[in-house]
Amino acid sequence: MVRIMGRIGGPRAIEALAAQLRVPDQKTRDQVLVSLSACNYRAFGAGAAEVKRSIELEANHGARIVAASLDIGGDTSVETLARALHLELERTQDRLLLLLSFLFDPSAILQARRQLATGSQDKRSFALEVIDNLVSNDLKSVAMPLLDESPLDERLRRLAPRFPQARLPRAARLREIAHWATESTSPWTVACAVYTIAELRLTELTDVIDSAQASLDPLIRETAVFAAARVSFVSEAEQSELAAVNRS
Amino acid sequence: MLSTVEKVLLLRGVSIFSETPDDILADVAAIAEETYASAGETIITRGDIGTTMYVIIRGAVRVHAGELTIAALRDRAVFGELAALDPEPRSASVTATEDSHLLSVDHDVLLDLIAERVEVARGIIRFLCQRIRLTTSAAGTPGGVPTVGSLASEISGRLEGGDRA
Repeated sequence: MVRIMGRIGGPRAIEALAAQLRVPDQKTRDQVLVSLSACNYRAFGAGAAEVKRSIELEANHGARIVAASLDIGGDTSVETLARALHLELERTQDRLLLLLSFLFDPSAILQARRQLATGSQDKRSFALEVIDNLVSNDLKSVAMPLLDESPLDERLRRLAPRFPQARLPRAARLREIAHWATESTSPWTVACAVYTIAELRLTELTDVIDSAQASLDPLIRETAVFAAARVSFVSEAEQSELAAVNRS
Repeated sequence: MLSTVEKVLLLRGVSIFSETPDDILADVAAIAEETYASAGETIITRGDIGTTMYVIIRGAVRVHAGELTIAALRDRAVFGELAALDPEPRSASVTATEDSHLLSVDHDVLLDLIAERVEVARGIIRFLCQRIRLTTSAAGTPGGVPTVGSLASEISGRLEGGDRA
C-alpha cells in the first residue's frame, strides 16, 4: 500500500505518507521514506520539524548500534551478530540520507546516497563532502558521525554530547540487544543476539532465551527455541563431565 | 533440523545469494527445505530438467558424467545453484557418497519469494551484474574471452599487416 502510494504521488499521497514517518514498524517506515522520496517530498514548517525529530531518533538509534558494535567486538564467535549490527547501521545511514533529502537539495543528497552505497572510495569521499556542504550545522553534528567512515570509537566520541551511550561488557550487551524493541530494530538482529548467547554457551543468560521464546516475532521465537535446546544440552553435557570427574 | 539463522549461515555461501543481506536471506531460509540422501542415492540425474539447488549441510557427494568423476563435494559445498534461477537440463549427475543432509531451494518457491520480496531479486541482480562485469573485464585481459570488437580489430590489424595465413 505504502509502495503504491509512492508510485501514485500527488499531494494527498504525500500528506498520508508524511503522517506515517514514525510508524512503529521498521520495514513499513523504510518504505514510507522510499515512497516519500519517489514523490519528491520537500518538508517545510511543521513537516520539517517532524523530519528533524525523525533524524534525531535515527541518530540516537545509530549511536546505540555503534556502542553495541564496540561492545560485541568482531571475533569469529560473534561474527553473525557483528554482521547484523553492521547491516543495522547501514540501514540507519540510508534512512538518515532519505530524511536529509526531504530538507536539503534532494537530487544532490540522493546522488550522494547512491555513491555512498556503491561508489569507489573517491566517490564516497566526494559524496560526504557534498553532504557536509549542504546540511545545516545543527544536523551535521548529528548525522555526519554516522555517515562518514571514521572508526567506531571515534564516531561514538563525536555522538556522545547529543546521544551518550553506556559501554557494557559483552554479556550485558547481548542481554540488552536481545531486548531491543523490534519497532526500531530488525528482528534479525535480535535473533542473532539470541543465537550468539547459545553459541557462546552463556548459561547465565538463559532467562533472556526464555523470554525470547515468548516474542511475538516468529524468527526470534524460533531462534530462542533452538537456543534453549542448545544451552540446556551443553549444560547437561557439562554436568555429566563434572559427575565423571567427581566419580574418579 | 536447522534453525533459520543456521540456514542463513549456509545460504550465505551460495554465490547467487552473495549480495543478499542476511536479514533478507532469512526469508530465503524460510523457504529452503532440509532433505536427506543415503550413500549411493542419485540426487541429480544428467539430462533431467533441474529446478533445485542444493547446499550440503553434512555429508559428501560425487559429481559425475557416467563413471567419470568431475568433482567430489563435502560440507557447505553448493551444487545446481543456477537451476534455482533458470531451469535447464542437468549437465552432470550427482550421487551421494555418504549419508548426506542437504538444504534445497526450489525454482518455483524462489520465484514466489522474489515476487513478494523485491530485495531478494535486487541481491540476485547485483550478483549477476557483477558476474557480467567480471566476464567483460576478463575478456579485455590477455588470455580472457575476446569480445567481438577485439577480434575484429585483431583480424583487421593482421590483414593490414599482410598476415593472411
